[in-house]
Amino acid sequence: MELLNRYLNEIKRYLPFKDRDDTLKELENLLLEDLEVRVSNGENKDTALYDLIKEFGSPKEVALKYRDDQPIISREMEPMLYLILKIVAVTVPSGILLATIISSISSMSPFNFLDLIVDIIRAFPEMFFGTLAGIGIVFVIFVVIERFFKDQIEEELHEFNMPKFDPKNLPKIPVSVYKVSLFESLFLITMSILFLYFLNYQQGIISIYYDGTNEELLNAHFNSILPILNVSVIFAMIIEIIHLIKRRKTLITTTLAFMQTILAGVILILLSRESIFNKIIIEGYDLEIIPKLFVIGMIIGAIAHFIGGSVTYGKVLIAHTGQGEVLKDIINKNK
Amino acid sequence: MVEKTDILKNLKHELRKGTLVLAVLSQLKTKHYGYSLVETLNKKDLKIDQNTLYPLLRRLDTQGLLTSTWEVVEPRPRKYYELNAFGKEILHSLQYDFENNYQVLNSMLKEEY
Repeated sequence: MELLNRYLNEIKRYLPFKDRDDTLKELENLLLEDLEVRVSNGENKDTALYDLIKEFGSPKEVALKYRDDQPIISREMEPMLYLILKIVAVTVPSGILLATIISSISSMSPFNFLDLIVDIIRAFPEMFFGTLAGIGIVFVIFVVIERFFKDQIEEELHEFNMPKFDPKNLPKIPVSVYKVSLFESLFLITMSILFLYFLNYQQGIISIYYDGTNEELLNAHFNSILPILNVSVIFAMIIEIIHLIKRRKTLITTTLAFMQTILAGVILILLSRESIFNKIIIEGYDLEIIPKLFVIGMIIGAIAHFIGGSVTYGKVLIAHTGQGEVLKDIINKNK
Repeated sequence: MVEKTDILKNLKHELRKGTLVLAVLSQLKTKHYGYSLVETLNKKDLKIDQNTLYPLLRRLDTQGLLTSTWEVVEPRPRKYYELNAFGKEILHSLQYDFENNYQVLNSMLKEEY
């Protein structure tokens, strides 16, 4: 039955949100009924289940039949779009990184490794927004192909989309600590994009507005911490994007997420100083309370990151090594 | 170059698509759940894939043509579907159109060259 659960879990990924649980419950019972008939006809249960799932079709194919919406990019074009988006997501940042390294090294005499690292870190927002622009352009090109040239590439598309579904390749159901919350991931990614945009390109918004003028609240000390802050946010965002694509966490991604949480905690400690504020403005407007509250907030935030991150990662390690079951047994015995 | 078999397959698929809804609605005058409806249609020589029928049932249900209820028939729950008053009205209208089209097409197909 594990194979059936894996199959249903994959179908769930592509089903529309509306009535998703009801659809899955119905499908599960219908498949079980079919399986029962096959077994009563003398087939081996495992073989019958394998054949049944294979005949029923790939999870994506099955789930898409439950969707009535017409996407901007049709389902035949979708796999090709995703492939090209993946290529863009790798090549654009790599290209900018390479260009940054070359330009940085060629402008240095003598060579300074630390300056090179700083230049690379400073290029991170450019890599990110460059990739976003690349993805947008590819999407627009696909919309144009979809509208005007799709008929001409019908045959190539058919070959590209040839289904090769084998139930044996269905991914295993993730244990609870590896499950991904769709809304949490999307929320974190959106917040990260806004955070990067405002802190790098619209920093002037964080100002004191008075009598038609505005004075920036943060100063050069903050800007010296900004590159490492960018790295941390982009790092967190990449992890969430991987979670969103895979719809599951892994030991590697949770380890990376733990490292990012600790890094974020360290950054909060670096930020927890009054010197990042524009002293003249703070004193001029009599706003000393803001830096004080900020410092306290940052320290509390840092502690929460260290404790929260360690507890979450601890749970993952316990679940991963199978110690969770051992602990449960010990607790039950003591009861 | 698209093969002859592919062309025929696509055209047959299009021809069948509309009549499939009519066939399903006609059988839902009595209560059925997905698997029993597949069996009933298969016995009447109308081959339909399960993964085509189940989403179709849900679509017709969402459109308000059917009444659906979960019933527990040991060992497991089943979702039953049946035509409601609106569904019967739609079926009646579709049946009228189908019979009309059938006669027109039949006489057209029998025309001598």
